[in-house]
Amino acid sequence: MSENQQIESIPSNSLYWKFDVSTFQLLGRELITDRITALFELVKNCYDANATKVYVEFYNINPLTEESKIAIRDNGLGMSFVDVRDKWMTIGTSSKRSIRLSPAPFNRKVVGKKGVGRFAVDKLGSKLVMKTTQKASSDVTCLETDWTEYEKLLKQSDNESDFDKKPLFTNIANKCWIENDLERKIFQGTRLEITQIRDVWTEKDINIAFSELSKLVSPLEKPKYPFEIFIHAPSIGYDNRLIVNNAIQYSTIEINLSFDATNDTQEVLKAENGLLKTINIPKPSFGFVKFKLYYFDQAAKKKYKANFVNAQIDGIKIYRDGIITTPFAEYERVDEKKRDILGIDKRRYSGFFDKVSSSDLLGILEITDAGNPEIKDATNRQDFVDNIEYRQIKQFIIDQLAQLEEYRISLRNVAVQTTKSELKVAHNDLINITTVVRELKKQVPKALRPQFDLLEKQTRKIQIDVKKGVNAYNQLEKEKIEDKNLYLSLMSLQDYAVEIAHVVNTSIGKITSAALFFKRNFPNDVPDFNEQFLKSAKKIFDEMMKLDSVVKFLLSYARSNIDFKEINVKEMIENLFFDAYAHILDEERIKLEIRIKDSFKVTHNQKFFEDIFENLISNSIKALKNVDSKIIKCSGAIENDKFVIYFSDNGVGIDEEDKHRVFNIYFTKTAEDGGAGIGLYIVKTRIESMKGTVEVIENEFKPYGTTLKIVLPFVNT
Amino acid sequence: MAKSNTNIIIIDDEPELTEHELVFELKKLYEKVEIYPNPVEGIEFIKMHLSEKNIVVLDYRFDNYANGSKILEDIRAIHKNIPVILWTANADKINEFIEIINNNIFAVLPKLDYELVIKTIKDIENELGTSIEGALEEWISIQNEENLDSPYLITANGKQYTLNDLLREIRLQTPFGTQVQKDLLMLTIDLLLRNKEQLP
Repeated sequence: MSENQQIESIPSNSLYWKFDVSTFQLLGRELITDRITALFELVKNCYDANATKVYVEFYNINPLTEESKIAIRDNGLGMSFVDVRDKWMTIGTSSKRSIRLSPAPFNRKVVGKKGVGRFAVDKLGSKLVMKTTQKASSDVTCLETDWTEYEKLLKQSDNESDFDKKPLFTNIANKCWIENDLERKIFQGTRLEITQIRDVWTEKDINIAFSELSKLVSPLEKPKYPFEIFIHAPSIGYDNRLIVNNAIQYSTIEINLSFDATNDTQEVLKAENGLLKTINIPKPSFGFVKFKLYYFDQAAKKKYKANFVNAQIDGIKIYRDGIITTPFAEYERVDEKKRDILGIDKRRYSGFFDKVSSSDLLGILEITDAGNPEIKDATNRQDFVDNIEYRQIKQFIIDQLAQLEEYRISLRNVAVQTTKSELKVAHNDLINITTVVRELKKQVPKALRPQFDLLEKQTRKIQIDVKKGVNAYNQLEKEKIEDKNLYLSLMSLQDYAVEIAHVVNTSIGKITSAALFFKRNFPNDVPDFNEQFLKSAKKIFDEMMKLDSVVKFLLSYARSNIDFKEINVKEMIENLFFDAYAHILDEERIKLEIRIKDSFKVTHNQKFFEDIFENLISNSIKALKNVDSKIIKCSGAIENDKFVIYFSDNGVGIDEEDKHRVFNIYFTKTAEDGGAGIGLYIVKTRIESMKGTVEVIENEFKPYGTTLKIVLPFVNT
Repeated sequence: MAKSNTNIIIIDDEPELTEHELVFELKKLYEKVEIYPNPVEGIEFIKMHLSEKNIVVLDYRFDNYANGSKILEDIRAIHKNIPVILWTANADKINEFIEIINNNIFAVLPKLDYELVIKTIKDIENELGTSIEGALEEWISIQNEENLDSPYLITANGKQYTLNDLLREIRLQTPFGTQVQKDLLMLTIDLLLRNKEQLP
């Protein structure tokens, strides 16, 4: 046989895809998750066709009848017969994919990129008549697609066992004709008329569509070629109602961040001295952004809800070149299922303790294709590609919110102070009034005295009541602070649980690998295997010790009383050093210098507080291991309105490069001595739960040792 | 047993990885086991050693770099076929790995069980062994030393290739390399079928 004959003996060297009839469902009903999204897709097509006006019309949609109809018509570019044949009828065509701008002079950044938006129709109704015409043409190209025909064929196909006889998606004829519109009633544009509507559209549904469609174009854009959407729904009294996005006019706080390209600076928020300022920072890695943020307090939300039925205050969205990119407008009824892709509500205790949540915010982050090229749509179109720039853009948003939160706290503190001083003024005023009444009483005729007696009694009574009110107010404030401390401690516990889970996981990983190594290789006479056996055994041992210390610590929580009480810091520190740790310190031959000058009280869980010192002492013991004359020094005093504690030892000290991370979990340089790297982490979280701070400062026992400065906010002495 | 000359490139920023039993065992089996906490350097290594046999073990989460998906993308930009194993502590989060799975990954393995990594690397080696580059390499290894670096093939435009050159071109998947690969396969099929009565 010759070579050629070889090849010819294969029946065909190519195969072709066929499309089953069910393709239309895959592309429409199943790809488009809900009908709001379907509407959205169709309106996006109008945008890409340079329309300036789109009319979405609902006729007889509740209840459904033969007459039910949804029409979407625009004044866009329209299509010629050839366009309909070669573009509309070709799946996946999207000239928009390669050309990212709509035709001049509009040059809109195109939003439909998949070339399947047209199948969204099927989600709305089963029959479509499209009529489309281009500028200066009297030909109206008409196309009728009846999905019920497809469905009938699909049933046949399912019953047909002979593959050759199965109908294919591509073999179904769609009726097409040209109408002559000599009177030029339709000037240009496309009209989609959808009948045999699938679902009832209630007033609520239409309102949702209204609210969702209002988000399509950024309310900040004032484009040269506007894009207006009108909803016409006679059943609920919408007569070509223009969709406007004016939610923002009710907000409590309005923030507007921009950038200066000439000086390469980006504006960011900074809460300082009770004010919310904007400051300039160098250009961020992700490029310049514009950020509008509207915060709604309870009253503003109420007002907003009264004015926008069904509209929602639903967080921050990213618009690229004026058009929404994400979170994509797939309407989700269930709040919990809404995608929080920016991670605003994922922040722990969001919406709690002055933290704002998506339901308090409307925000628009404006990016551009040219200015933020690294922010790319992810292929699933539900987020952006996870890269450093995107992470930083998310962090940017969270940072701005943190500043807003801080500002809110300072506002509230100001309000509390104002109320307090006003109450004081009122109290003083009352004292003055009482004095005046008493003076007047002396001067009035005798007949009037009884009335003045009464007046004097009443003013005095009011004076006492106000005084009681002032006290109650102060007491309430104090209780609130205590409650807050309790919450903060519980929060730190929760944080701790997350970290503990991580510690345990890491240890399990290491132990598993070491054990597996034994299982795979034991026994083995090769010398370096023996070495590795020892290493792995030691690893198992060390990790077990680490787990043990974690478990012990957890148990100390389980046993400790969660009750909060007033602790005298001076007494507690002295007790710890001179009682609880005395023998350990003695055994280690560590010299103690304890100087707590002032007395200072905190309301806290004693166990939590002791943890701080327990960990500091055990840390120092490890650091002092190879030192000859060992010293631990602890001094404390009130400085301004804070209680400041300095804790020092003359041990090995902390390297400059490690200073920023000594408080990180598992950071340890004393692994050999059983350091699990959680000690200083506990110290930090405990102190932070008391709203205090801890930092490594220049060491007292230079050139050796470590000094930590702990600052606790003042409660009372 | 002689060690394999396949390069094992581990891209993972876990600081204690050098102490990991997996690394110890791999070093017993492979001449070159490279660990790169910095993905950029790892990719650089791959780039410099494209003409050798490479298997990459890639982590997913990095503290200071983009995730494994992006790194895989960068590796694929250099070479579309280098076998990559994703080795991750989050193997259950399949949704996050959609892009990875669609980018020609050999396996996604959980971190807890390193035995699977060794087994998978062996599977890849077996697969490489039965591939055209594996077969060619084996064939070259039994040729006379002096043949290896003397011209073996001269193209129509007069360019000369030694056996080692041919292997490199195939590994790099250059247009010439892929053409040679295709020609070799066609020729082999033809030869085999022409003498099919002699096939075992």
